[in-house]
Amino acid sequence: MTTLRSPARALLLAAWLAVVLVAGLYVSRTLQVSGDLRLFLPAPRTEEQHLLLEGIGEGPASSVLLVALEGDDPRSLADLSRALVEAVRDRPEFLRVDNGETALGEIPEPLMAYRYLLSPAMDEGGLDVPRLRQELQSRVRDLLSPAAALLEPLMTRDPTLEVVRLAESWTPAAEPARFEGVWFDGERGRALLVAQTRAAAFDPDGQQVALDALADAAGAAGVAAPARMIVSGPGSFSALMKQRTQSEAQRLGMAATIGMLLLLALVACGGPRETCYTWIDDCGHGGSQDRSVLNAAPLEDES
Amino acid sequence: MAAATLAIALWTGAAAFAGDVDDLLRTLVRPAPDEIPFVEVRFSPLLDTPVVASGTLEYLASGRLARHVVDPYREDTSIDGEQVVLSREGERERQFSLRRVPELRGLLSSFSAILSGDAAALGETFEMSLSREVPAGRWTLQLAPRDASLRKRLGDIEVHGGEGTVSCIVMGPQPDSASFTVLGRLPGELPGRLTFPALQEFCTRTP
Repeated sequence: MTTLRSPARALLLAAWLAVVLVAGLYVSRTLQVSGDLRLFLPAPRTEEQHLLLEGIGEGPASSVLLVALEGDDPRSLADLSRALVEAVRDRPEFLRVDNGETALGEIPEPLMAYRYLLSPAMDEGGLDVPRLRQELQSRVRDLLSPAAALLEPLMTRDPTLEVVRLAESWTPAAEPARFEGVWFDGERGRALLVAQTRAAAFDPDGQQVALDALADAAGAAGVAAPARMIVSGPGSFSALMKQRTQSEAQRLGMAATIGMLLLLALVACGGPRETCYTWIDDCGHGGSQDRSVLNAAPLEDES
Repeated sequence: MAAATLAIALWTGAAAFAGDVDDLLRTLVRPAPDEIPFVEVRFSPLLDTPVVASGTLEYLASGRLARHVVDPYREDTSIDGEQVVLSREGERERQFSLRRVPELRGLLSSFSAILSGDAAALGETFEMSLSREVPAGRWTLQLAPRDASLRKRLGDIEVHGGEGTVSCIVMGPQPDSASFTVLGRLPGELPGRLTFPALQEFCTRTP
């Protein structure tokens, strides 16, 4: 066994550092930390499974935040709920926000194109003469009714008002209670809203941005003490999860680093030299030897 | 100095004007509940000829109104606070919130304020200008919504009347989408040809 000379040692150290650096770079480039819990599910094989997984991650059910406003009297909460809807409506982080005050025939624009495809009325006889006559007759009457301002803009695009029919058929039988037209819980202690985020449920950063935007909008809408806002839903959980894991990882990482440094310091310069050498000696040679031999004789002589 | 004079002149003018509307509304107050026949004529760019319906308007309490169309079909609308319920014979009932139809709210609040003589409420929503024909006793109250978006959608509301009565409410931003609500008249009393100028003339001339 030969001892490495110092230039060779330096070279080896440099090479090792280079390898560590390259590996570090590779990891930092390619490592993606994801909160996507779908990774725990088996990989999808069929179209349906793909659709299901997509729905779980990006579908409306998972990107909806549930918002409650509480702490004030119902009337003020209803006003706050309306103000919050106005404040959130134009934010790019959100696709949709609702507090129960949906209009007759208000339907998301992308679905408008499919109104005849979706409508059950098309299966029940379609647009035959008697039906069309009756529908147009009703539209004339609608123009004279108090709902005219609401329906007239729809009539040229949708004379049979399929969108209204669709909206009615999709209205759930059981809805949250309403007060002044706004969703409330049964005791009228909380005004309820739903907001659909543009970010997917398992995108904690996107969800955090959306949550910050929501808090910002709540401030703009005048949600202040005694009223307060509570947010729940998959997106809020994923942001919370990320916060928790991050802070915990930081805390544990910090503790581990400190422990490691302490240990190294102890080993390097703190402990009694004898223990140190005995330990190396034991590991290196598989048995106990006289300490003096190790101390006195250089290693190369022994081999 | 000139500015001060002008300000005083404006102030006294405004005060006199507000008092004028107050006086007028006081003569129009109708204690709830009350009922009045109406004929409504509606123009629309979607229609060649205007549509006409008649029935009764019921003023039940502040914020509560009912509208019953009797001819040529039956339709009942009830407005209670924010909730509007519309039911027509042979059709499914419809419900919607007034908040979604600012036009209707504008009309209702003006109607309600006039019937209850509440000039302050009227002045909150609308800029008012009143013109009277002194010998004939006819008057026209022009209501321009203060809210810019409402003004764009609703246009000005014109309320015509005579001694102690409201005879016509005209609304609509354009002649081709205007609606005339003629109060206290039967359909037969309207002009033979239902055109915008003819109805305008009818509303300003008839006491």
